[in-house]
Amino acid sequence: MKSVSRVALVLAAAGILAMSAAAILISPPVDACRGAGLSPADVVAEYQREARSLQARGLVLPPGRHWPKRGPALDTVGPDGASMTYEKGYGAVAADRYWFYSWASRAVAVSGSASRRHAIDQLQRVRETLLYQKRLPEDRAYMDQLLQRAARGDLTLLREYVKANAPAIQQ
Amino acid sequence: MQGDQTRPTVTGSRWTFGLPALLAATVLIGVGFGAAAQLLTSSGPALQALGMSTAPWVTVGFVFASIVARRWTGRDRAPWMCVLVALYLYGWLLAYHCLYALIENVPAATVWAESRLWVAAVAPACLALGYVVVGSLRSGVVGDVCLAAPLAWSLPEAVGAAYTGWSQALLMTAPLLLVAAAPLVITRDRRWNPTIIVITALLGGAALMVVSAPVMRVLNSAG
Repeated sequence: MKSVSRVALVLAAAGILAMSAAAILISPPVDACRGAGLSPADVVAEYQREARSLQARGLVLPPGRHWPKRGPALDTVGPDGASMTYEKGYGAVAADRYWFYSWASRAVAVSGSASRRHAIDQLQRVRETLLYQKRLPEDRAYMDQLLQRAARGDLTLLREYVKANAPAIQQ
Repeated sequence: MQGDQTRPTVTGSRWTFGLPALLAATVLIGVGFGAAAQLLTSSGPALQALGMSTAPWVTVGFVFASIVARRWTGRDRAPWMCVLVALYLYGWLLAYHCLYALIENVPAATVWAESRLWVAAVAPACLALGYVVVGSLRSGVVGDVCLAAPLAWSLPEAVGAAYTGWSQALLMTAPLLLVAAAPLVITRDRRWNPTIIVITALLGGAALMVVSAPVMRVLNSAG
């Protein structure tokens, strides 16, 4: 019995080492990982679906803003020359981000207090979107802070957000 | 049925587990907790951070191995605890990533790319954990240091949770610290020194906060 136990132990140790070696050595081909990815065209379709969905839920764009006809700016080829794919939900979150940015930029730009209040009230509804719901807890905490301070009339974080995101949103 | 000195068994007051049954049970426990972690990860914002964390799930394996080690009859206790921890971690990783593939409709190649460095890390992790489990059964300073190890490796994630707002932090840190303190609770057969426990937890936790950030970056960047 003693020798059987020892043999089993040696086999188990060999198995664990083999698993680790296999995990290090067997790397799947990059193309095999792309099965569930979205093509740029799929992302645009998803973006447009989310834009319609926002509209249907009363989350409209502020006056003077329109949804970009071509959707978000997307790279079609990666740095390795292979075609780009995007994770599911990328287009939807991009649409939510455009909606949020549009109201944020209005809140910091308008001079009338009623218009600003309306823009800030609209921003609070970001919690109904994937942009907020799909974020990591740390990011949501930051966004909560941004919204709470804006609701109190402190637009410092909102201005920072608009300044930081303007190049990405407007390209 | 009483186990002899050479036949590995785990014997309770009313039951005895043979080695094959014990190994199978270990994998199943790993699968169960791995599935639970993935379901929490996919459940929504409130419990997502707990599902995505590492320390509490590793500690569950540690606690399980501690319970087994106390009742182990037979030789080679430390090496077998390493094997048990490895089987628990393999079961956990298998369930966590397979469920992820099913829920998110992700191809197997992507799942392997994301999980393979975690699988590779099982070998060194089980070696360390298995010997810490057995070390925690000893009395004296070494035993107390080993007993405090789960608190030390849970500290970085507990501190990280503190930045997410108090309600989120509570949801994360309460189960995290409860599981990490479990080895202290189950150690009823000897007294442990609270000062050594606290010092080890704080110093070990601080050291791991420095070391773990780059290690976790590497593990999470696989693919």
